[in-house]
Amino acid sequence: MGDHMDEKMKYMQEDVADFIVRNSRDGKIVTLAEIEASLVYGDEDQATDISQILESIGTDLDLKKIDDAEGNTFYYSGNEMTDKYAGIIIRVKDKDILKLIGDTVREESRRYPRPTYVTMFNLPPYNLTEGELTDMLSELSNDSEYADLKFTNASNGTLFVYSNKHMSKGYADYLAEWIEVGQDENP
Amino acid sequence: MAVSYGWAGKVLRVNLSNGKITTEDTGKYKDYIGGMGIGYKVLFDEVPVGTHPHDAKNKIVFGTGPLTGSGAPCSSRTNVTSLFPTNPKHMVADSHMGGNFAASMKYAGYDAIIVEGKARGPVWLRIEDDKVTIEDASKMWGQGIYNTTALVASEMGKEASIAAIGQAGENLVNLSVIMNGYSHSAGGHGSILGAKKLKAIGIIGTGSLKIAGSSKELLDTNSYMLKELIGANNNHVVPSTPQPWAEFDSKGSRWTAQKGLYWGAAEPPVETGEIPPGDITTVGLRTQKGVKDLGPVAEKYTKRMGGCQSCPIRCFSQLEMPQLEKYGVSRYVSNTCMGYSAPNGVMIKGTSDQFEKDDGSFIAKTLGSQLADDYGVWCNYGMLGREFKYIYESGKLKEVLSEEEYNSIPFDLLEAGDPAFLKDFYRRITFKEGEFSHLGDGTYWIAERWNLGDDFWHGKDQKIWSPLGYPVHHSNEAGAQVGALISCMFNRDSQSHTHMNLIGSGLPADILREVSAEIWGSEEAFDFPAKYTPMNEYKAKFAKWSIIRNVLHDSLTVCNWMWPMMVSPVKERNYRGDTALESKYMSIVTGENYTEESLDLAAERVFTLHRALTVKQMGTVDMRNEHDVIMDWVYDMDPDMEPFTEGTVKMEREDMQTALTMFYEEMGWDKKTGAPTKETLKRLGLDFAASELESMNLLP
Repeated sequence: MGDHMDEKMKYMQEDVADFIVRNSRDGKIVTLAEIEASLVYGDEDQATDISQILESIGTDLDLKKIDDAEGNTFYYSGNEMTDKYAGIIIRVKDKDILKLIGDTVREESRRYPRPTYVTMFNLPPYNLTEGELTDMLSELSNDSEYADLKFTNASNGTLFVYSNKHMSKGYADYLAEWIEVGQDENP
Repeated sequence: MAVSYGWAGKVLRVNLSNGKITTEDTGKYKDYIGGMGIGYKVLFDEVPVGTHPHDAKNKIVFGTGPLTGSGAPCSSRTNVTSLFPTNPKHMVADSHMGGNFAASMKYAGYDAIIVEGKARGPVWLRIEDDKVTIEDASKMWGQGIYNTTALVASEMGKEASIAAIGQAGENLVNLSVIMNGYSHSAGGHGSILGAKKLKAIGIIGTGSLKIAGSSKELLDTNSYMLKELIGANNNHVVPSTPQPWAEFDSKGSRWTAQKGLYWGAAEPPVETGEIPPGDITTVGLRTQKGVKDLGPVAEKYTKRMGGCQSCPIRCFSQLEMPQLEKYGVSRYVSNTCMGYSAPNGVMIKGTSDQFEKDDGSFIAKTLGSQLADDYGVWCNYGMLGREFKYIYESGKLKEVLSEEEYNSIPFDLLEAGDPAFLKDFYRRITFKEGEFSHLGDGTYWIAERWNLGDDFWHGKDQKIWSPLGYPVHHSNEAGAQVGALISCMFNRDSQSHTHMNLIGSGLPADILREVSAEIWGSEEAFDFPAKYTPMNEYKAKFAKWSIIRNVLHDSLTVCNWMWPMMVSPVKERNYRGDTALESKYMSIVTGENYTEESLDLAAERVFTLHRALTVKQMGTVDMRNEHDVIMDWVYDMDPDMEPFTEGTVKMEREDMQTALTMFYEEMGWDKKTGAPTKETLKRLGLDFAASELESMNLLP
């Protein structure tokens, strides 16, 4: 009986780890409930403390936790997903989109430095629809909190947004053009 | 050389005038490593000043190095050294090509092939290990590169590595290439072979390379490099889209692998996917170069990525495009980067949709690639299209051509954006049809012939870098004074990617500045993009290091589009690369204890020999004012902006002179003239060069 339990625990550990790793690779963070739902053994002994399992496998996959604004906890593997990516997923879940865009643009303008191409926010993990993005950009333009965020177009029409706290218009114009056109012309 | 590890031990010398085929010991070239080093030594010692590139007295050296064919990643480059036809003083320059040719040379037993003299009639060189013969090429003469390659293969078998010239090389067009493996070209030297009547070289090498270290050591080092250090094409180390595993991303990155991006014509289609570093089996998926070079429409035509022997990166897209047969060319396309962009640059009025929406430039690039590659026409790194644009739009073309010739050119196709124009364009250049064909002479010569003035030479749109007639190639737009200095130092466009690999890696500037401080002593070596600062000593060190590593790679030979490993995609390494990796491989392969410093010193020797040869060929020590000169547009662009303002990459004249002085100091060259001093030449073991220059009164 003891051996049976140990073996079952081993399987559950493997399955839990596998579930978290697969989802992390796929760009998803998961709740305890989702982990539990993934374990289907058809066995009345399934009522096992998932938290206990998570504790036992934590180091192997660099298990990380992140909470949303409502206090729901999500799990991901730090070996497969960066904290930054997980943080973006949470902020999208929390519908903190405007501030997420603002923070992202300011950080890119400061650090790289580069203006941000707006269609990046259509891609995972942001996943904004065309309509949502248009609405956000409009809100951005009208919100005094984001008065430093300005727009520029490369000559091929690609729209960029930048923070004038960190770069001048001329600089943003040059960098946008370089990203979209200059690099291709200087392979 | 006794037992030879790394080096094959022999240099093959073929005299086409008298048919003599001999070998010599590579040992006498060992201080120059190989590749470019052997090339410059031969040219310095054996080709008299004033020799014309097409003269029988000129020599051409196909060089490999001790790492070529060793199994080290990215190690099958052939360096080609000879006089350069487009250069106004026909000075020495090197070109290089990838593919399998270099490795085949090594396995056949040769570190280099020196070709001298001139055959009476068309010949090709057949090398099967130590059996070397000069064969009749009269049936091949007049054929394009594709047919020539097939004809040689029909004689030697499909295992042969074959380098050939097309009709452009045969017709002594200055802008011509030598090509191996259908798409790997060495630009600018095709007419040298044409002048020698050497149509092709076919090699079968059944031997192997002796490696001093254990195979475990070599394989462990390969594993280390492939798991922890190597990025994607051009060593970009971040993906081009946000991905779960990646802390950073960059839209311009060549690490384009992502969900939903495929090799669309593979059977079944291969998804590139989200592939973190660490898995060596997925390195070749990182760069979907078809889409990167050709646009989204290329995805469904992309069969696979191709490339060079021992390279995991696979930067050549290989496509199957049935629609190309409409133009009379093969449906099978393979090329990369400028091989595609240059023909599109000829379509100066843009392109229109041909077979489907948004395929105009796609067709121009692939059709142009087929035409240029088969004819063997070189683009002078895109200069050909820009020159054509200038002479067409300025009215100069109408002025220099007869009315009859002008009217015979299908400019209606050009104006309509129809890529079929390229068929006429490349044919005229290849077969030297009419005055138009002088576009194939190269920048300096067409400017002289057609009396092109300052607005040509100093116009920003033409992007001419040097009065020697070569263009921008990762110059002032790539690292401020660093790129500018690098671009001044050779006798053609510099083809140096060391600095660009770092600048374009995709990591944020703060990390790149930290890395710069670690390698060159201060963060000040690295300017933020288009936010330049005045020259400083650290930039001079950066420039020197970049050139020296480029020269090292072209001597070892490894691919400078990938090496050196300055940064890494691995966060756990803090994104740090391993700049000692070349020396690690050299130590394992040769059994000799190489260090970063010892290899860099050898490369410095090779580069200084190049400089000494340049002085000798120019007949002046005044490199500063006669050679290291930059066209005015670099200083005068963006007239409403001052240099060192964010948003411009314009340089400042006095500052560039300071930059040259600092660079000369780093190199141990005369601070006033930029010529190598006797002291430096002797320090580097180039006493023979010091003596010869002294006898010619060419020491500063």
